[in-house]
Amino acid sequence: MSRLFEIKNLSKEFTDSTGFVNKLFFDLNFSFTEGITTILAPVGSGKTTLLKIIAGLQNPTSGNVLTESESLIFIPSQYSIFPWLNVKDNIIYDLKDIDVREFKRVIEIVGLDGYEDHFPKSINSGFVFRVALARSIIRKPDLILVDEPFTDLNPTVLIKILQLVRKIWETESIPVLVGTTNISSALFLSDKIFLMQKNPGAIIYETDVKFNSGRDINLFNQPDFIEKKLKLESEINSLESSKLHKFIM
Amino acid sequence: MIKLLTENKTLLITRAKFGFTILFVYVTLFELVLPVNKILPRPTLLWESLLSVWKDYNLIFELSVTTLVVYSSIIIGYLLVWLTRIPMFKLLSYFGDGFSNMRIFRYFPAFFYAVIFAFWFPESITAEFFFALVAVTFYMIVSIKENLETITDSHLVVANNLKISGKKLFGEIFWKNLQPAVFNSILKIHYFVWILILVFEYVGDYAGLGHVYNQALVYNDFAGLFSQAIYIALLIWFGDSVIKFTKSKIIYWEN
Repeated sequence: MSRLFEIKNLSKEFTDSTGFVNKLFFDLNFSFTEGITTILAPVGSGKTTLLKIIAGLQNPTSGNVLTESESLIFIPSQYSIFPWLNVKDNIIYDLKDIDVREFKRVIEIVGLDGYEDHFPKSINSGFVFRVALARSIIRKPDLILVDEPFTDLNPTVLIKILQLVRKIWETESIPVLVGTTNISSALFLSDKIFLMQKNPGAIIYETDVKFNSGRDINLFNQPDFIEKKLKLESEINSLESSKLHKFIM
Repeated sequence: MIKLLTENKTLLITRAKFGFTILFVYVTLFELVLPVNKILPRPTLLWESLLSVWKDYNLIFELSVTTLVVYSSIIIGYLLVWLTRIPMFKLLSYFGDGFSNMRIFRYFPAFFYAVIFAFWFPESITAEFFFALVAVTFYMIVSIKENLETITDSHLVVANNLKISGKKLFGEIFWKNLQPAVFNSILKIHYFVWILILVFEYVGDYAGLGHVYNQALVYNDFAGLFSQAIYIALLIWFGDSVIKFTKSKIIYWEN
């Protein structure tokens, strides 16, 4: 089965209380397949809505998402795990058949080995994201969609999380679509980046991302990383201020 | 932990100091300065009354009636809400606005309901229990309705994405999200139910602590009124502590 996702003429409009039609994004066209794809977009550009539409959780005003994939897992930006369940029960939530060996393998991949009985309140936000990721992997989806996973993480945890998301693609071969405002994280993580503006949301630039060196903490200082970052920043800076507010450089 | 213990110790010492000051002022003023007055009973009289009120008013029985009605209505009300949670959440989600209109009944004074129930069902402990049960259940449902919008949106998104069944969505995800609000409403209604039941019993003058209050007024037993009030306050305080403890055990993820 092909894991090609084609976004065709996708638009989303909202009508506010005064009757004004607000175009969140308009006539979006892009496609992605294997690897890690990032939609790099400013706050308020509609990337969460776009991810939800791709995941089948919301309907677009017009347009389609063409794919043969059926099993798509969406990880919301916050509180996506249930506070009344421990780590293990969150991961296997509503699963009918639980393969113990598969469960152990998954928690080892995400680095939660030994935390099975912990409750979300006792673990930090990096671990909460690991739980959400483990809950997704164990279901063997065709695509994991991650909405703004890099907020509230300190730099050390952020690097580990970015490496973990790469690992999911490299070891599990599950494609990941990420929506973020964070340029450095997007570059570190992605195989492909779509840059999106706001008012209305539209893809204005796309680039494939490949680096000569490995993706570790030293990557941020590599010339090809810096060059790509500067290119993205120049694309962002070429926009009117109302269309780029607000990115995290 | 040490900081918490120190804070609790400081709070206890402050409260003890406050309590002893009040007691000292009360004893000095009403035992020595104003032994005969119509403001507060003499401390020695109050002490005697605290001991004799059990026998004089058959307080164990009357206290058991009121306590049983108050707490059984709260427990059964909670169980009723829990048992009917799935259809209730569905109804409130779809027809919640209609239910919101019933909030108009909140503006009637609480004692009005107590009086009318006592008038409709004289000398009936069963009616008293149903009256408390209706009040408790109604208040919990109102609180659930008002907190429906506070359900964490991402939980619903995840439930939708994982294709969770409606039964599990309403029975677990809705319920667990709303359970803290239900317990907060119990903490609020606990005191309210005590007042309602005391008024009901006072008006009905058949059984319970409200009936005892009525008798104490008839006999002009000033010290008796105060000693009963002290026992009721202790009971409410104890009930409040039990509810808070139960909440901390059931809503364990908030600790």
